Amino acid sequence: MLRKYIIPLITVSLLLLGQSVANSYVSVKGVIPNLALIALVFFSMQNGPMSGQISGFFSGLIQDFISLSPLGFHAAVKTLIGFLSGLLHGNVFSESIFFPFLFIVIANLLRLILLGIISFLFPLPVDFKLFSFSFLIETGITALLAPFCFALLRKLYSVKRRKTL
Amino acid sequence: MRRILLFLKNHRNGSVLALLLLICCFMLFFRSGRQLVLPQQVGFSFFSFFQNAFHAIGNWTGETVNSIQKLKEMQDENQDLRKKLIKYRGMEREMIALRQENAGLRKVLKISEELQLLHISAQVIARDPENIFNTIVINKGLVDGVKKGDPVISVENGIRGLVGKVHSVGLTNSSILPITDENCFVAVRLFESRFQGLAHGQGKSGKIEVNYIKKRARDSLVKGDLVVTSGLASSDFPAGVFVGRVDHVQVKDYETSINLILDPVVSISKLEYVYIIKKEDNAP
Repeated sequence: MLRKYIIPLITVSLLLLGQSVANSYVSVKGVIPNLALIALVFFSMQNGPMSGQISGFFSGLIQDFISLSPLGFHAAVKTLIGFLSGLLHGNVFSESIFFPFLFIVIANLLRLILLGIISFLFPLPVDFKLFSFSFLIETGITALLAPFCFALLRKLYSVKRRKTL
Repeated sequence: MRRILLFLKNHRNGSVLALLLLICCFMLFFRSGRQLVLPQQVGFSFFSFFQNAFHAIGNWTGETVNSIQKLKEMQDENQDLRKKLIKYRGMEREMIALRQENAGLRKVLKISEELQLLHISAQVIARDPENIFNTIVINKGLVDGVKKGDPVISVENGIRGLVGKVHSVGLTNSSILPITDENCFVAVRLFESRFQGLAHGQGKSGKIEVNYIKKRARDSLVKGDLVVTSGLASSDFPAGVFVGRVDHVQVKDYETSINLILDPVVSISKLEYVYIIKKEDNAP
Protein backbone atom coordinates (compact mmCIF):
# COMPACT_ATOMS: atom_id res chain seq x y z
CA MET A 1 0.00 0.00 0.00
CA LEU A 2 2.65 2.49 1.12
CA ARG A 3 5.08 1.55 -1.63
CA LYS A 4 2.53 1.21 -4.37
CA TYR A 5 0.20 4.13 -3.69
CA ILE A 6 1.37 6.52 -0.97
CA ILE A 7 5.01 7.06 -2.05
CA PRO A 8 4.14 7.67 -5.72
CA LEU A 9 1.32 10.04 -4.76
CA ILE A 10 3.45 12.03 -2.31
CA THR A 11 6.39 12.22 -4.75
CA VAL A 12 4.26 13.39 -7.69
CA SER A 13 2.38 15.89 -5.50
CA LEU A 14 5.54 17.37 -3.99
CA LEU A 15 7.04 17.76 -7.46
CA LEU A 16 3.89 19.53 -8.63
CA LEU A 17 3.97 21.97 -5.71
CA GLY A 18 7.70 22.47 -6.25
CA GLN A 19 7.10 23.15 -9.94
CA SER A 20 4.51 25.81 -9.17
CA VAL A 21 6.98 27.69 -6.97
CA ALA A 22 10.01 27.08 -9.21
CA ASN A 23 8.10 28.50 -12.18
CA SER A 24 8.79 32.00 -10.85
CA TYR A 25 12.54 31.45 -10.56
CA VAL A 26 14.00 28.97 -13.04
CA SER A 27 11.72 28.93 -16.06
CA VAL A 28 13.16 28.90 -19.59
CA LYS A 29 10.96 31.13 -21.77
CA GLY A 30 8.24 30.70 -19.14
CA VAL A 31 8.53 26.93 -19.23
CA ILE A 32 9.96 24.48 -16.71
CA PRO A 33 10.54 20.73 -17.02
CA ASN A 34 7.51 18.71 -16.03
CA LEU A 35 9.15 16.55 -13.38
CA ALA A 36 5.77 15.55 -11.94
CA LEU A 37 4.86 13.95 -15.26
CA ILE A 38 8.15 12.04 -15.33
CA ALA A 39 7.50 10.75 -11.80
CA LEU A 40 3.92 9.78 -12.63
CA VAL A 41 4.99 7.82 -15.72
CA PHE A 42 7.83 6.17 -13.81
CA PHE A 43 5.73 5.03 -10.85
CA SER A 44 2.90 3.89 -13.11
CA MET A 45 5.29 1.78 -15.15
CA GLN A 46 6.76 0.28 -12.00
CA ASN A 47 3.50 -0.47 -10.20
CA GLY A 48 0.90 -1.04 -12.89
CA PRO A 49 -2.32 0.64 -14.01
CA MET A 50 -4.15 0.60 -10.65
CA SER A 51 -1.39 2.51 -8.86
CA GLY A 52 -0.92 4.76 -11.90
CA GLN A 53 -4.52 5.82 -12.19
CA ILE A 54 -4.96 6.42 -8.46
CA SER A 55 -1.72 8.44 -8.18
CA GLY A 56 -2.70 10.31 -11.34
CA PHE A 57 -6.20 11.07 -10.09
CA PHE A 58 -5.16 12.46 -6.72
CA SER A 59 -2.11 14.37 -7.99
CA GLY A 60 -4.29 15.86 -10.74
CA LEU A 61 -6.82 16.87 -8.12
CA ILE A 62 -4.08 18.66 -6.17
CA GLN A 63 -3.06 20.45 -9.36
CA ASP A 64 -6.67 21.56 -9.81
CA PHE A 65 -6.69 22.91 -6.27
CA ILE A 66 -3.63 25.09 -6.79
CA SER A 67 -4.34 26.36 -10.30
CA LEU A 68 -7.17 28.22 -12.02
CA SER A 69 -8.36 25.03 -13.70
CA PRO A 70 -11.80 23.66 -12.80
CA LEU A 71 -11.85 20.73 -10.40
CA GLY A 72 -11.52 17.46 -12.27
CA PHE A 73 -9.69 18.89 -15.29
CA HIS A 74 -6.14 17.78 -14.57
CA ALA A 75 -7.46 14.87 -12.48
CA ALA A 76 -9.01 13.29 -15.58
CA VAL A 77 -5.90 13.84 -17.71
CA LYS A 78 -3.51 12.46 -15.11
CA THR A 79 -5.76 9.48 -14.35
CA LEU A 80 -5.63 8.46 -18.00
CA ILE A 81 -1.88 9.04 -18.30
CA GLY A 82 -1.30 7.03 -15.12
CA PHE A 83 -3.51 4.21 -16.38
CA LEU A 84 -1.96 4.07 -19.86
CA SER A 85 1.59 4.23 -18.49
CA GLY A 86 0.67 1.46 -16.07
CA LEU A 87 -0.26 -0.78 -18.96
CA LEU A 88 3.44 -0.81 -19.88
CA HIS A 89 4.22 -2.39 -16.51
CA GLY A 90 6.49 -5.38 -17.08
CA ASN A 91 6.30 -5.07 -20.85
CA VAL A 92 9.15 -2.68 -21.59
CA PHE A 93 12.76 -2.20 -20.66
CA SER A 94 12.64 1.15 -18.87
CA GLU A 95 16.27 1.04 -17.77
CA SER A 96 17.68 2.05 -21.13
CA ILE A 97 18.31 5.71 -21.87
CA PHE A 98 16.15 5.86 -24.97
CA PHE A 99 12.85 4.49 -23.63
CA PRO A 100 12.29 7.04 -20.83
CA PHE A 101 12.97 9.76 -23.40
CA LEU A 102 10.43 8.26 -25.79
CA PHE A 103 7.80 7.60 -23.09
CA ILE A 104 7.94 11.18 -21.83
CA VAL A 105 7.64 12.62 -25.34
CA ILE A 106 4.57 10.42 -25.91
CA ALA A 107 3.14 11.17 -22.44
CA ASN A 108 3.54 14.92 -22.95
CA LEU A 109 1.90 14.74 -26.35
CA LEU A 110 -0.89 12.62 -24.90
CA ARG A 111 -1.32 15.11 -22.04
CA LEU A 112 -1.94 17.97 -24.43
CA ILE A 113 -4.27 15.93 -26.65
CA LEU A 114 -6.31 14.92 -23.57
CA LEU A 115 -6.38 18.51 -22.30
CA GLY A 116 -7.70 19.53 -25.71
CA ILE A 117 -10.36 16.82 -25.74
CA ILE A 118 -11.57 17.62 -22.21
CA SER A 119 -11.64 21.37 -22.81
CA PHE A 120 -13.68 20.64 -25.95
CA LEU A 121 -16.14 18.27 -24.23
CA PHE A 122 -16.65 20.58 -21.23
CA PRO A 123 -16.29 23.95 -22.97
CA LEU A 124 -13.35 25.45 -21.14
CA PRO A 125 -11.34 28.46 -22.27
CA VAL A 126 -7.99 26.67 -22.37
CA ASP A 127 -5.70 28.39 -24.79
CA PHE A 128 -2.80 26.21 -25.83
CA LYS A 129 -1.31 25.18 -29.12
CA LEU A 130 -0.17 21.62 -29.58
CA PHE A 131 2.97 22.48 -31.48
CA SER A 132 3.70 25.86 -29.96
CA PHE A 133 7.24 26.94 -29.20
CA SER A 134 6.72 26.66 -25.44
CA PHE A 135 5.31 23.14 -25.83
CA LEU A 136 8.36 22.07 -27.85
CA ILE A 137 10.71 23.56 -25.25
CA GLU A 138 8.82 21.89 -22.41
CA THR A 139 8.75 18.53 -24.15
CA GLY A 140 12.40 18.78 -25.10
CA ILE A 141 13.66 19.70 -21.63
CA THR A 142 11.40 17.19 -19.90
CA ALA A 143 12.35 14.38 -22.28
CA LEU A 144 16.07 15.11 -21.94
CA LEU A 145 15.80 14.97 -18.17
CA ALA A 146 13.69 11.82 -18.20
CA PRO A 147 16.53 9.22 -18.39
CA PHE A 148 18.33 10.86 -15.44
CA CYS A 149 15.14 11.20 -13.42
CA PHE A 150 14.20 7.59 -14.13
CA ALA A 151 17.66 6.46 -12.97
CA LEU A 152 17.43 8.59 -9.83
CA LEU A 153 13.89 7.51 -8.99
CA ARG A 154 14.82 3.87 -9.59
CA LYS A 155 17.72 4.22 -7.18
CA LEU A 156 15.62 5.94 -4.53
CA TYR A 157 12.74 3.59 -5.00
CA SER A 158 15.17 0.64 -5.03
CA VAL A 159 13.32 -1.24 -7.65
CA LYS A 160 14.45 -4.71 -8.48
CA ARG A 161 15.51 -5.07 -12.06
CA ARG A 162 12.94 -6.65 -14.24
CA LYS A 163 13.83 -8.67 -17.19
CA THR A 164 12.38 -7.64 -20.50
CA LEU A 165 9.92 -9.89 -22.12
CA MET B 1 -25.94 -8.99 -9.21
CA ARG B 2 -23.42 -11.78 -8.94
CA ARG B 3 -22.61 -11.33 -12.62
CA ILE B 4 -21.94 -7.66 -12.10
CA LEU B 5 -19.70 -8.33 -9.13
CA LEU B 6 -17.85 -10.99 -11.10
CA PHE B 7 -17.43 -8.60 -14.01
CA LEU B 8 -16.09 -5.87 -11.71
CA LYS B 9 -13.71 -8.35 -10.10
CA ASN B 10 -12.41 -9.52 -13.46
CA HIS B 11 -12.03 -5.98 -14.74
CA ARG B 12 -10.78 -4.27 -11.62
CA ASN B 13 -8.44 -1.81 -13.36
CA GLY B 14 -11.02 -0.78 -15.93
CA SER B 15 -13.74 -0.40 -13.29
CA VAL B 16 -11.60 1.86 -11.09
CA LEU B 17 -10.59 3.90 -14.15
CA ALA B 18 -14.23 4.32 -15.14
CA LEU B 19 -15.13 5.35 -11.59
CA LEU B 20 -12.33 7.92 -11.35
CA LEU B 21 -13.18 9.39 -14.74
CA LEU B 22 -16.84 9.53 -13.75
CA ILE B 23 -15.90 11.53 -10.65
CA CYS B 24 -13.84 13.90 -12.84
CA CYS B 25 -16.73 14.33 -15.28
CA PHE B 26 -19.12 14.93 -12.38
CA MET B 27 -16.88 17.66 -10.97
CA LEU B 28 -16.39 19.28 -14.37
CA PHE B 29 -20.08 19.11 -15.20
CA PHE B 30 -21.38 20.51 -11.95
CA ARG B 31 -18.87 23.30 -11.52
CA SER B 32 -20.46 26.68 -10.74
CA GLY B 33 -19.24 29.16 -13.34
CA ARG B 34 -15.69 27.96 -13.81
CA GLN B 35 -15.01 26.38 -10.48
CA LEU B 36 -16.45 24.24 -7.74
CA VAL B 37 -16.33 26.85 -5.04
CA LEU B 38 -16.17 25.30 -1.60
CA PRO B 39 -13.99 22.17 -2.11
CA GLN B 40 -11.61 24.19 -4.27
CA GLN B 41 -11.21 26.84 -1.57
CA VAL B 42 -10.58 24.23 1.11
CA GLY B 43 -8.08 22.41 -1.11
CA PHE B 44 -6.41 25.64 -2.12
CA SER B 45 -5.98 26.68 1.52
CA PHE B 46 -4.51 23.31 2.43
CA PHE B 47 -2.04 22.97 -0.43
CA SER B 48 -1.03 26.62 -0.34
CA PHE B 49 0.56 25.77 3.00
CA PHE B 50 2.98 23.47 1.14
CA GLN B 51 3.54 26.09 -1.53
CA ASN B 52 4.49 28.53 1.23
CA ALA B 53 6.88 25.96 2.68
CA PHE B 54 8.52 25.34 -0.70
CA HIS B 55 8.77 29.05 -1.29
CA ALA B 56 10.39 29.58 2.11
CA ILE B 57 12.89 26.73 1.57
CA GLY B 58 13.76 28.02 -1.89
CA ASN B 59 14.24 31.54 -0.55
CA TRP B 60 16.37 30.39 2.37
CA THR B 61 18.66 28.22 0.21
CA GLY B 62 19.02 30.90 -2.41
CA GLU B 63 19.76 33.59 0.16
CA THR B 64 22.34 31.48 2.01
CA VAL B 65 24.26 30.68 -1.17
CA ASN B 66 24.01 34.24 -2.37
CA SER B 67 25.02 35.81 0.93
CA ILE B 68 28.53 34.29 0.86
CA GLN B 69 29.17 35.54 -2.62
CA LYS B 70 27.54 38.83 -1.83
CA LEU B 71 29.85 39.47 1.10
CA LYS B 72 32.87 39.48 -1.19
CA GLU B 73 31.05 41.56 -3.74
CA MET B 74 29.96 44.01 -1.09
CA GLN B 75 33.54 44.70 -0.03
CA ASP B 76 34.46 45.64 -3.59
CA GLU B 77 31.23 47.54 -3.96
CA ASN B 78 31.96 49.49 -0.79
CA GLN B 79 35.17 50.82 -2.29
CA ASP B 80 33.41 51.84 -5.48
CA LEU B 81 30.56 53.43 -3.61
CA ARG B 82 32.88 55.63 -1.57
CA LYS B 83 34.23 57.04 -4.81
CA LYS B 84 30.76 57.47 -6.25
CA LEU B 85 29.49 59.18 -3.12
CA ILE B 86 31.70 62.15 -3.77
CA LYS B 87 30.33 62.37 -7.31
CA TYR B 88 26.72 62.01 -6.21
CA ARG B 89 26.95 64.77 -3.65
CA GLY B 90 27.35 67.12 -6.56
CA MET B 91 24.37 65.58 -8.31
CA GLU B 92 22.19 65.91 -5.22
CA ARG B 93 21.74 69.63 -5.72
CA GLU B 94 20.59 69.02 -9.27
CA MET B 95 18.16 66.35 -8.08
CA ILE B 96 16.48 68.67 -5.60
CA ALA B 97 15.67 71.03 -8.44
CA LEU B 98 14.30 68.16 -10.52
CA ARG B 99 12.15 66.95 -7.63
CA GLN B 100 10.55 70.33 -7.28
CA GLU B 101 9.81 70.37 -10.98
CA ASN B 102 8.37 66.84 -10.79
CA ALA B 103 6.12 67.74 -7.87
CA GLY B 104 4.78 70.65 -9.87
CA LEU B 105 4.03 68.49 -12.89
CA ARG B 106 2.27 65.89 -10.75
CA LYS B 107 0.01 68.53 -9.35
CA VAL B 108 -0.92 69.61 -12.83
CA LEU B 109 -1.75 66.09 -13.98
CA LYS B 110 -3.50 65.17 -10.70
CA ILE B 111 -2.04 61.67 -11.00
CA SER B 112 -1.29 61.35 -7.35
CA GLU B 113 -4.88 62.21 -6.45
CA GLU B 114 -6.32 59.65 -8.86
CA LEU B 115 -4.19 56.79 -7.67
CA GLN B 116 -4.18 57.23 -3.93
CA LEU B 117 -5.73 53.86 -3.22
CA LEU B 118 -5.84 51.71 -0.12
CA HIS B 119 -3.90 48.57 -0.81
CA ILE B 120 -2.37 45.38 0.56
CA SER B 121 1.06 44.55 -0.82
CA ALA B 122 1.77 40.90 -1.64
CA GLN B 123 4.52 38.76 -3.11
CA VAL B 124 4.03 36.33 -5.98
CA ILE B 125 5.03 32.92 -4.62
CA ALA B 126 3.83 30.43 -7.23
CA ARG B 127 2.44 29.99 -10.72
CA ASP B 128 0.73 27.27 -12.70
CA PRO B 129 2.83 24.09 -12.46
CA GLU B 130 2.28 23.23 -16.13
CA ASN B 131 1.71 26.60 -17.81
CA ILE B 132 -1.75 25.60 -19.02
CA PHE B 133 -3.59 28.24 -17.00
CA ASN B 134 -2.36 31.74 -16.11
CA THR B 135 -2.39 31.04 -12.38
CA ILE B 136 -0.58 33.48 -10.09
CA VAL B 137 -0.49 32.69 -6.37
CA ILE B 138 0.29 35.44 -3.83
CA ASN B 139 1.16 35.22 -0.15
CA LYS B 140 -1.84 37.14 1.20
CA GLY B 141 -5.24 35.64 1.95
CA LEU B 142 -8.35 35.85 4.10
CA VAL B 143 -6.44 36.68 7.29
CA ASP B 144 -4.90 39.70 5.57
CA GLY B 145 -8.28 40.99 4.41
CA VAL B 146 -8.15 39.85 0.79
CA LYS B 147 -11.55 39.20 -0.79
CA LYS B 148 -12.61 37.49 -3.97
CA GLY B 149 -12.87 39.97 -6.84
CA ASP B 150 -10.49 42.56 -5.35
CA PRO B 151 -8.56 44.31 -8.13
CA VAL B 152 -4.81 43.74 -8.26
CA ILE B 153 -2.26 46.19 -9.65
CA SER B 154 1.50 46.39 -9.94
CA VAL B 155 4.04 49.11 -10.63
CA GLU B 156 6.33 48.82 -13.63
CA ASN B 157 8.57 51.58 -14.92
CA GLY B 158 6.82 53.98 -12.58
CA ILE B 159 3.37 53.22 -14.01
CA ARG B 160 0.65 51.57 -11.96
CA GLY B 161 -0.79 48.93 -14.24
CA LEU B 162 -3.64 46.49 -13.84
CA VAL B 163 -2.65 42.87 -13.12
CA GLY B 164 -6.11 41.31 -12.74
CA LYS B 165 -8.41 40.41 -9.90
CA VAL B 166 -8.45 37.98 -6.99
CA HIS B 167 -9.93 34.71 -8.20
CA SER B 168 -9.99 32.55 -5.08
CA VAL B 169 -8.93 33.22 -1.53
CA GLY B 170 -7.28 30.76 0.83
CA LEU B 171 -6.45 31.37 4.45
CA THR B 172 -2.99 32.80 3.82
CA ASN B 173 -2.76 32.69 0.02
CA SER B 174 -4.84 33.84 -2.92
CA SER B 175 -4.83 33.14 -6.61
CA ILE B 176 -5.13 35.92 -9.18
CA LEU B 177 -6.97 35.85 -12.47
CA PRO B 178 -4.69 37.96 -14.67
CA ILE B 179 -6.01 40.51 -17.15
CA THR B 180 -4.50 38.38 -19.94
CA ASP B 181 -6.89 35.51 -19.08
CA GLU B 182 -9.88 35.07 -21.37
CA ASN B 183 -12.24 35.15 -18.37
CA CYS B 184 -11.08 38.49 -16.99
CA PHE B 185 -13.29 41.37 -18.18
CA VAL B 186 -12.64 45.02 -17.36
CA ALA B 187 -14.47 48.20 -18.35
CA VAL B 188 -11.91 50.50 -19.92
CA ARG B 189 -11.58 53.81 -21.75
CA LEU B 190 -8.98 55.35 -24.01
CA PHE B 191 -6.78 57.66 -21.97
CA GLU B 192 -6.71 60.45 -24.58
CA SER B 193 -10.01 60.33 -26.43
CA ARG B 194 -12.05 58.85 -23.50
CA PHE B 195 -13.94 56.36 -25.70
CA GLN B 196 -15.16 53.40 -23.66
CA GLY B 197 -14.91 49.67 -24.26
CA LEU B 198 -14.70 46.26 -22.62
CA ALA B 199 -11.32 44.58 -22.27
CA HIS B 200 -10.55 40.89 -21.80
CA GLY B 201 -7.46 38.74 -22.12
CA GLN B 202 -6.48 36.72 -25.15
CA GLY B 203 -4.95 33.85 -23.16
CA LYS B 204 -1.49 32.55 -23.93
CA SER B 205 -0.68 35.27 -26.48
CA GLY B 206 -0.37 37.59 -23.47
CA LYS B 207 -2.32 40.36 -25.22
CA ILE B 208 -5.54 42.12 -24.23
CA GLU B 209 -8.48 42.68 -26.56
CA VAL B 210 -10.80 45.66 -26.22
CA ASN B 211 -14.25 45.43 -27.83
CA TYR B 212 -17.12 47.85 -28.39
CA ILE B 213 -14.97 50.92 -29.06
CA LYS B 214 -16.92 53.32 -31.29
CA LYS B 215 -15.63 53.55 -34.86
CA ARG B 216 -15.17 57.30 -34.49
CA ALA B 217 -12.26 56.61 -32.13
CA ARG B 218 -10.27 55.13 -35.01
CA ASP B 219 -9.17 58.53 -36.39
CA SER B 220 -7.54 59.64 -33.17
CA LEU B 221 -5.87 56.30 -32.38
CA VAL B 222 -2.11 55.94 -32.51
CA LYS B 223 -0.02 52.86 -31.76
CA GLY B 224 1.13 53.07 -28.15
CA ASP B 225 -1.95 54.98 -26.93
CA LEU B 226 -2.75 54.17 -23.33
CA VAL B 227 -5.94 52.50 -22.15
CA VAL B 228 -7.13 52.89 -18.55
CA THR B 229 -9.86 51.39 -16.40
CA SER B 230 -13.07 53.41 -16.61
CA GLY B 231 -14.19 52.63 -13.05
CA LEU B 232 -17.86 52.21 -13.94
CA ALA B 233 -20.10 51.83 -10.91
CA SER B 234 -20.74 48.14 -11.62
CA SER B 235 -17.03 47.42 -12.03
CA ASP B 236 -14.73 46.13 -9.27
CA PHE B 237 -11.86 48.14 -10.68
CA PRO B 238 -11.01 51.72 -9.67
CA ALA B 239 -10.83 54.35 -12.40
CA GLY B 240 -7.59 55.50 -13.95
CA VAL B 241 -5.43 52.38 -13.61
CA PHE B 242 -3.41 51.75 -16.77
CA VAL B 243 -4.33 48.55 -18.57
CA GLY B 244 -2.28 48.48 -21.76
CA ARG B 245 -0.91 50.20 -24.82
CA VAL B 246 -2.56 49.93 -28.23
CA ASP B 247 -0.65 47.49 -30.43
CA HIS B 248 -3.00 47.39 -33.40
CA VAL B 249 -6.60 48.04 -34.40
CA GLN B 250 -9.00 45.51 -35.92
CA VAL B 251 -11.69 47.05 -38.09
CA LYS B 252 -14.53 45.13 -39.72
CA ASP B 253 -16.69 47.01 -42.20
CA TYR B 254 -19.90 45.30 -41.14
CA GLU B 255 -19.48 46.14 -37.43
CA THR B 256 -20.30 49.42 -35.75
CA SER B 257 -17.39 49.19 -33.37
CA ILE B 258 -13.68 48.44 -33.59
CA ASN B 259 -11.48 46.07 -31.61
CA LEU B 260 -8.14 47.06 -30.13
CA ILE B 261 -5.31 44.70 -29.31
CA LEU B 262 -3.23 45.90 -26.38
CA ASP B 263 0.12 45.05 -24.89
CA PRO B 264 -0.34 44.94 -21.10
CA VAL B 265 1.35 47.73 -19.17
CA VAL B 266 2.74 45.23 -16.66
CA SER B 267 4.62 42.08 -17.68
CA ILE B 268 2.47 39.38 -16.10
CA SER B 269 5.19 36.72 -16.47
CA LYS B 270 7.76 38.82 -14.60
CA LEU B 271 5.62 39.89 -11.65
CA GLU B 272 7.23 39.73 -8.22
CA TYR B 273 5.16 42.08 -6.09
CA VAL B 274 1.55 43.15 -6.51
CA TYR B 275 -0.91 45.42 -4.70
CA ILE B 276 -4.45 44.37 -3.89
CA ILE B 277 -6.69 47.40 -4.03
CA LYS B 278 -9.28 47.75 -1.28
CA LYS B 279 -12.35 49.91 -1.34
CA GLU B 280 -12.36 52.26 1.64
CA ASP B 281 -15.25 50.48 3.35
CA ASN B 282 -13.58 47.08 2.79
CA ALA B 283 -10.13 48.03 3.97
CA PRO B 284 -8.64 45.68 6.55
